[in-house]
Amino acid sequence: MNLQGLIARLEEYWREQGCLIVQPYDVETGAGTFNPGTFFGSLGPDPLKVAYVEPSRRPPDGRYGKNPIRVRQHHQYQVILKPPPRESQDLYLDSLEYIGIDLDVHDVRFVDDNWESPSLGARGTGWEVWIDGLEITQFTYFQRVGGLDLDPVCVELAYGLERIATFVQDEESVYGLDWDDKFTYRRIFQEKERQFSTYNFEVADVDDNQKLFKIAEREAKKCLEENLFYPAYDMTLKAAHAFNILLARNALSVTEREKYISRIRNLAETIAAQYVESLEDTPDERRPII
Amino acid sequence: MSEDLLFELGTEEIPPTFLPEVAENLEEDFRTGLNEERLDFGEIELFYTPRRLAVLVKELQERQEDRVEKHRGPSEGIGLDENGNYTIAAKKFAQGHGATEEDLYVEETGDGTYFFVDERIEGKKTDKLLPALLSSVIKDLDQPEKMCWDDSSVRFIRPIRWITCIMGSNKVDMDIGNVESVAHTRGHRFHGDERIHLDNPSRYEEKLEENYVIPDPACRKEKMDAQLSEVTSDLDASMASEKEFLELLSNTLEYPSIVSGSFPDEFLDLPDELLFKTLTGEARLIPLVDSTGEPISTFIGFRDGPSDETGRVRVGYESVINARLRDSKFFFSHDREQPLEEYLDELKTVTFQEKLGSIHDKVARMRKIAGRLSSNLEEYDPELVDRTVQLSKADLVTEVVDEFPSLEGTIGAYYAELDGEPEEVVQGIKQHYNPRNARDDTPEHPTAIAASISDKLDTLLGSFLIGEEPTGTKDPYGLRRKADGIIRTFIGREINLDISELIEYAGSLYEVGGTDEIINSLNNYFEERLERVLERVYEVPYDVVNAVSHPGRLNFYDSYLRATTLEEFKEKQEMKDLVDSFTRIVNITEGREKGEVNPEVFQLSQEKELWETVTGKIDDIEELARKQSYGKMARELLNLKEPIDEYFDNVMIMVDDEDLRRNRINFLLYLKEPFLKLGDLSKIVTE
Repeated sequence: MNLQGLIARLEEYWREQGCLIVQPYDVETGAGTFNPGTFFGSLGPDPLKVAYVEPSRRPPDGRYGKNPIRVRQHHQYQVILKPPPRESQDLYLDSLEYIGIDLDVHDVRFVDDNWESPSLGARGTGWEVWIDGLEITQFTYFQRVGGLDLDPVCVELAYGLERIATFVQDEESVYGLDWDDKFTYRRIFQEKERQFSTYNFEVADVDDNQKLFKIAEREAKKCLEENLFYPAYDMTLKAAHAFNILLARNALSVTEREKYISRIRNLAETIAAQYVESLEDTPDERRPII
Repeated sequence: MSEDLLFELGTEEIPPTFLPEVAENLEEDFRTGLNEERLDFGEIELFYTPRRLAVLVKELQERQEDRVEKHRGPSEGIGLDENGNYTIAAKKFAQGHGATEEDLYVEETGDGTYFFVDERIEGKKTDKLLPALLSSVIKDLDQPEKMCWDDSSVRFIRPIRWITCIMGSNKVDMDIGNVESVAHTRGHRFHGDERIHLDNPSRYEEKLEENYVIPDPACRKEKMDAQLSEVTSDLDASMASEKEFLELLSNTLEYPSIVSGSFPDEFLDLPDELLFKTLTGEARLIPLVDSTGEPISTFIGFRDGPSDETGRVRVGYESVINARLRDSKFFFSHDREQPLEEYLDELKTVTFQEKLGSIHDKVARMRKIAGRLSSNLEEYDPELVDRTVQLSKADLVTEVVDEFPSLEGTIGAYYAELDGEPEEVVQGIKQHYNPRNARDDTPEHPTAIAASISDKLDTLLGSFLIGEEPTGTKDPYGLRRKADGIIRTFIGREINLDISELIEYAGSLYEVGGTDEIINSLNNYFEERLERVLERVYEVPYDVVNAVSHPGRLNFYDSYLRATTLEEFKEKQEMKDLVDSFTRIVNITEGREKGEVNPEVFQLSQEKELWETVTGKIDDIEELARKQSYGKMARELLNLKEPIDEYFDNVMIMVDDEDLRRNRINFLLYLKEPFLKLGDLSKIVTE
C-alpha cells in the first residue's frame, strides 16, 4: 500500500468510527499533540473523537536527507478519543489490520513508555506500540494537559506514518517509500530535508530566532490580556518552533533550555485555563470543542 | 463446605518492572482481607502476565461461621431503676443487639458492674462478601503509579478491562468502575479465544495454556530458559545480559517463543557495552557471547505468541536492530572525532544544580576533595587521581551518553583508553559511579575510590547547602544511596580516615561557604547512616551498633572493625559477665566528673589488686586500640573480668566516707576509659 493510500485508509477507518476529521494545522508544530484538535480537544467536558494527519517538524532530528530513518519532518496520524472507549486497544489494532498488517504473523507489543510534554504542561500514561521491534505508534492515556488534570481523560493514538509505511512496504529507507504509485518520498522530501537541515543547523541566526521567540511570546501575552486564547496559542506554537531551531543550533545550555521550556509552558497553561473557563460560560450549542 | 475461587483482573499492559510487585501486593491484601472476614481457605496461587493479575484460592469456605459477640451496655445503676426494673436505656441496649431484656446479664469489670448481652451473628455467605472485599482490595492496592482511563473514578496502574470471578462453578457478581464481572476469561490477544468459559477455577492454568497464555510467571521463565539453552548450546554461546533481564522480558509477554537472528559483523567492532546496550535497552533483545566471552553477531529475542513459522518476526527484528546499531555506530564515530579531554569545556554548559553551578564547577571541587583525600592515603598517586577526576564527567556531553545515559562512566573509560590514558585512569573513570545502589560493588582502584567519594560527597554537601537534604519520606536526589555508598566504600576499601575533616574541607570550596551548622548536620546524617549501613549491609546486631557509635567520631572503617570484634565476642559467656560489670560501672559513674585517683586512699586488697592490674596493662591496651587490634584488645579487657568481679564482690562504692567514695568513683571512671575505646559495652544486650 502506498503512503497516500495508507493515510486514506486510516482516515476512512476513523471516520467510520465517528471521528471528526480536521486538517493539519498551518503553523509549524513539533508533533500532532500541538494541533489545536488535541490541545483544546483534550480539555473540556464534552465527549469528542477527532482525527487528522499532522506534518511534525523537529529541526534537531534533521540529517540532511542522508539518514534512512531520521528526518526533520515526519507525518503523524493522530486520533483523540474522549472519553476512551473500553475497546480502545482493539480499535487501534483493528486499524492496523485495516491498513493490511496481519497481526497473527507479527509480534505486536505495548511497551511501557509514559509520555510527557513539559512545554505543554502535559503528561500521560501509555505505551509505544512495537511491531516486530519497530516502534510505530504512541498510545497514551492523557492525564494532564496545559497544567490541568483532565476530566474526562482521553486517549491519544499517534501513528508514525513513515515508520508504518517502511514496515508495510518493506523498505529500509524512508526515501524509498512509494507515496502514490508514481513518486517516491525521495522526490517529494529529500531536497527539502537537505535544505532545511542546512538552514536549521548552520544558517539560522541565533539572535534573530531568540528575537522571534520573544516577539511571539510578547504577542501571545498581549492576546491573553484580551482573553484571545486561540491567537495566543498560534503565537505559542511560533515561539515553540523558534525554540526548536535554537535547539538545532545547539545555542542553549541545559539551564537555558529549561527556562525556555518553562516560558512556553506558562503560556500553554494560561491558554488552557482561559479556554476551560470560557467553556463554563458558553451555552452547550455554542461551546467550542477544539 | 468449601469451593475454589478464581479472581482474574484483565488489564492493559502493566509495565514489567512493576508487575511482580503489584501482583504480590494484590495476593497479600486479598489474603489479609479473607482473614479479616474470618474465612478459611487452603492455598492461594498467584498468576500474572502483563495483561492479567489472578489469584486462585483453594478450598475457600463458602460461608462465615456463626459467632457470638459480647457487648457491654449501661452500668448496673443506669440499667435498673430504684425498684429493680429495667430502665429504657437497658431495654434499648438489648434491642440494639437483637435481644430482649431477658437476655441481659451483669458482670463485674475493672471499672464497675455492667450489663452485657450476647449477640448471635449469623455468618454471611462468601459470595456476598467477595464483591466488596475484592473491589476495596483493588481500589486501595498499593501501586507505584496510578492512572485514570475512563469516566469512572477508579484509578489503577493500567486500565482494567475485564473481571473474571467464579467460585465453584458459579459466577460471583461484582463490579469495579465501569467493568462488571464475567464467568469467562480471555486468551492471548491474537492467538487465543476471546471467551474461554471456565467451569472450574482449578482448570484456569490449563485452559489458558491452550490459548497461548502461560499465567504462571515461573513457568514462563522456565520455558524461556529451556528455549534459550537449546539455542545457546548449539552455538556454544551464552547470554551476555544479566539474569534479571530475562526475568524482565518474561514479564512483557504471555507466551514466549524464541526468535534468533543476526546482525552484520561490522557492528562487533563497537564497544561491547554499547553493542549490548543497543540490543537490550532499545530493542529488548538478548546479546550473546562465545565461549571466550567475545560478542557474536547472533541475538535472541522472544516473540509473544506461537513460534515464528513464517520468519517474518525474525526479519523485522533484524531490520530494527540493524538501524539501531547503525545509529550507535554513528554516535560512537562522531564522539571519536576529538579526544575525551576536548569535551571538558562543554561541561560548563551542563547544569549540575541551578544554585550550585555547572558540572564543570563540580569537577573543579571534586578534584580538590579527591586531592585532599589521596594526600592522606599512601598508595594513592595524586596525579593519576587528579587526571581521573578531571576526565570523569567528560562523557556526559558525548552523543553516546546522550542516547544511552546509563553508559556514563563506561563509555568515558572506553574513550580514555582509546586516547591512551593510563590504565588506572581508565578504570577510575569506569568505576567511579559505583556503588550505584545497595547491591552494587564498591569501586576497587584507588583512582576510582577517590573519584567516587569526591563525587558523592560533593553532591551531598551541595544538596545540604541549598536545603535539599533528605527527609524521612523524600529523597529526590538519591542522597541516602550516595551517603551509604561512601560509607560502604570506606569500609570495603579499608580507608582508615575520619570523614569529618574531609567534609569541613569540602565545605570551604563552595562560594557560599559551608556554615558550621550545615557541616554539623551532614556529620550527623553520616552518623545516622553509618548505623543503618552497619545494621543492614553488614548485619551487625543493633545493640552492637549502638555500642560502637560514638558521637563526633566518623571513622567508618574503625567503627566497622570494632563492631565485628564486639559481635564476635558478644556470644562468649565471660563477655556477657563483663558487660554486666561494665554496665554497673556506667550506672554508678553516670553524670560524674573525672578526678584524680589516689592509690593511698585504697583500703581493701581487691581495690589495690585491680588498680595494679589495670595500671600495669593500660599502656598495652591503649596501644592495641591505637593499632586497631581490637581482637587482642578485647581479650585483654576480658582478662580484667575476674579482678573486676572480685572488686565488686568486696568493695562497696557508695560508702559514707566522702573521700573514700570519691576516690572509688574516680577509679571506676578511670577504669571505664579503655573499654570505651572499643565501645560502650553497656549498650550490649546480654539476654
